Amino acid sequence: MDKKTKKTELILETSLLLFSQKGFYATTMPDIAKKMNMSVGNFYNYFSSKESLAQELIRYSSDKVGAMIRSVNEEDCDSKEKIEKIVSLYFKLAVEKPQYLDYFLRVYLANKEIFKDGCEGMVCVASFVTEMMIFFEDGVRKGELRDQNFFSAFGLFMGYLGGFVFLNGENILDNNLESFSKDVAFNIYQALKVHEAS
Amino acid sequence: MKITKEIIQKIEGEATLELEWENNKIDYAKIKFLNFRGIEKILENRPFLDALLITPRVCGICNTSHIIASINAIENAYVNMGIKIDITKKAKRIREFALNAEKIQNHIKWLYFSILPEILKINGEDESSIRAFEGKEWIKSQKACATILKAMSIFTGQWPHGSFCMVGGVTCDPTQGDIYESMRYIEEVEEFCEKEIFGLSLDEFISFETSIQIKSTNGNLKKILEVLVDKNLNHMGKSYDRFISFGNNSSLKNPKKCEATRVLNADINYVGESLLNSFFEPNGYTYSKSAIYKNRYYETGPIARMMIIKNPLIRDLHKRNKDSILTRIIARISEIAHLILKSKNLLKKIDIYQKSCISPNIPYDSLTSVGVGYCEAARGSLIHKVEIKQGIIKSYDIITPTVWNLGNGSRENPAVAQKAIMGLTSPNDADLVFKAFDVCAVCTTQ
Amino acid sequence: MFSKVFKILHHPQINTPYSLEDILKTDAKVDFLVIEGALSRSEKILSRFGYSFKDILDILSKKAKYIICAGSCASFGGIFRLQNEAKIFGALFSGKEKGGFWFNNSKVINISGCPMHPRWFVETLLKLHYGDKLSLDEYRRPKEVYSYLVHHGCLRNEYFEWKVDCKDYGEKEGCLFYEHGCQGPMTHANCNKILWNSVSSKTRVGSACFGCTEFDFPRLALYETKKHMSLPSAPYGISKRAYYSLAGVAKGFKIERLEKRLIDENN
Repeated sequence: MDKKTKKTELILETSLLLFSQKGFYATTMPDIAKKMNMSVGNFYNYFSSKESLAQELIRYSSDKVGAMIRSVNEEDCDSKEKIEKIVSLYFKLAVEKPQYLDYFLRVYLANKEIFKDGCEGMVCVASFVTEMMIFFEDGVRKGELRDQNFFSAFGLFMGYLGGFVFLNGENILDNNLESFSKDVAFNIYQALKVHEAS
Repeated sequence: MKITKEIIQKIEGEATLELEWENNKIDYAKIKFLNFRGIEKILENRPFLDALLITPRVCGICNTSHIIASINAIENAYVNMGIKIDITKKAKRIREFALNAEKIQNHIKWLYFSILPEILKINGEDESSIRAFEGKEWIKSQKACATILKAMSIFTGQWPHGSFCMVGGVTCDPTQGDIYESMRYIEEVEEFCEKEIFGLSLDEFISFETSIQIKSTNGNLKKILEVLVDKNLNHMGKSYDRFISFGNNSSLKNPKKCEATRVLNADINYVGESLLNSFFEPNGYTYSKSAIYKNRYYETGPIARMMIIKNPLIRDLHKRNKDSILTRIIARISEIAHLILKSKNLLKKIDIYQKSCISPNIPYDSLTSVGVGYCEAARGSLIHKVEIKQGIIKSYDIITPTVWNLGNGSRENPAVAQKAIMGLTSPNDADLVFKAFDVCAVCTTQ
Repeated sequence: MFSKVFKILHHPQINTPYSLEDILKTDAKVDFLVIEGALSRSEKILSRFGYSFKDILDILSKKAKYIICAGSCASFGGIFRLQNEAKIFGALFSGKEKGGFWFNNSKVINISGCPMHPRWFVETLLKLHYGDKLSLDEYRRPKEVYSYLVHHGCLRNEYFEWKVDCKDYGEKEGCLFYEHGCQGPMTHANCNKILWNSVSSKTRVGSACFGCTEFDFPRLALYETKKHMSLPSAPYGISKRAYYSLAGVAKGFKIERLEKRLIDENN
């Protein structure tokens, strides 16, 4: 990795942390530069606007989550097991590096106007959505998951996980997030699996 | 009594003719089609649209007729369920044009592959000019066939096995340039036919009212007429003198039958299929079923179409020769001229700004109905019947022209071609009578 | 060219110099045996002119230098295999599986398609005749023809690139891959390169490619795109990951021009 790429990645990680601690609107470009010990002028060499930084961040966090799901997709196991692994990794990420999911749930989904030019449709979250497509397509092809519209399945899976991470973030859950992993995975599998003809 | 077996060669598919002789005359003939392919069964439990792709594979020669009969059956099933199907004039014209082009190539192939070699042989002439792949005339006829198929493929994508029909119309959306291009090809074929087959302009030919007028022309048509008359074969091959044609095109809208010269309405509901002598019954000997109308055999094909629309030339030939091979052969050749002129007219009338297809608004799996579709294929009326339950084919039935003409009846009530063969005195004559029907074995044993 | 180079000794339908019996009885060798139609060893299922087809093939295949399977039935079994999959097959394959009428026969060259394009046939024969190099794919089909996909040269390619579905049949616009069963991106054949009857092709007249050159022809539900969780299969040789990411991205844009009529006479 060259120096500039390395620096860029550091900026992205720092911004994610700041956004998740202080909030997206409350954090300014100079705040990030300061945290990075960079001059504001130099900082703008990396990102010319907060909008372009915001868009790069969603690509970056989508890539992180995408890579995680990809590692599960590449394993040789059935859909039930894959669901368990995805849920467990997702919750682990929510606990250990909450800034990735926070950014997606609190910034990307809530502030679509920032993303409308440059992140149309799935452009910036393609790496993550693609992995979910592969997971679902494969499950149906193998006869393990019920065939349905992609979005009804995707919404059920990711909406459920997102909701849990949100509840956890609001400190509403009565137990630690990872303890819910098994039940949540079970519920998702029950909802998505092929039903034997009765 | 002696029994001989004749293998009928040089037809599409395989057929065997078993002749029973009594006093040197054919006393009875069994027509055997021996290879069964089971397309109707293969269609069961498939979504009904699959029929549009699979039924054309019944025959490499009349596949367009099958897709048309199939789409007609499917659209009829929609109508029977109370769903209106609107087909624009544009789509109707394209369908009919494709069907015509297919008939034209069929008739030209039949003329040059099946009939002319026989005529030359009978006349003791050298047949090298029509020898496959070598003869000059053969090559010209092939080029004409290829050209008419180009004219058609502009709309159907390809021949054989174009898939241009869809519920509510056709899939193609031609430009005006496409139509001009198609016209250019037809005119080339027209030129071939005028020069080689009819020996005069098609417009003049279709105005003929008597067969004597043919004598003034100079083409293969005249030659065939003269050889058959010279060799006294013009009365050979008579059958019931009963004809049937279901139409469904701009020349004949509704089903009609013709008893000698009297034309009457026909009703598709009276069409039946006899399994007599087929392998589907004990002691059967053929895979061909027989089509019957009110339990009687009728002849279908160009002769039937021409008799029903009261074409003066064919009516004149019929007056002198009844339903003999002469009338049958001249009717098929004449039809080429009519089809070319009709096709040019259809092309001129296509309005490219009309919609090509108006798909019905209901999902395929909500269709539960039965439908009957028919059209005029090269060899005669082709009927498809389909029963659909929730979008899936429950049963499919195909009645091809060949099962009208070449079915197997009984000694007392022989089918059309059987009757035409009985009483002949040589296997060669039987072969010629057979070929005059334009036999297609594959159609019969779908 | 064809007629100058080759002599057709026998054809069941065309006026040719020798009968089938002549050919069966002669000791002479022939260059090409051309097989059309699905095959069976059962005499009941397939016989010809009083001989069982198995006997005919046994005799003729020994006389021939090359055996050309003309069409998908002779190559894989095709439509008619569906009547009896255990007893009806192609010359070397039964659908995808190796082992048809023969298990091994190095003389066999498959020219699949329903129908086969006449140019595929003629060009293959010419290559063999002139001793030009003929490379075959895993299904023993000439690579020069079957390395192309029907998708290559399809006039609707731009709609495929931008994931614009065909709204209804009978229009010039839209791709038939997403909803209408088109197999163009996964079917091996150069249809849209050489065209049919020299003028057109299925996709050029708004009908789908039904994959007629492939071993699984005819698939069930030909006019529907088989999807899993509304996701179509990826084009031949392209990973799902590559295809879905690109497709997902392309679908996110609404390209105004591609939503309009191709020929917009009111504008």
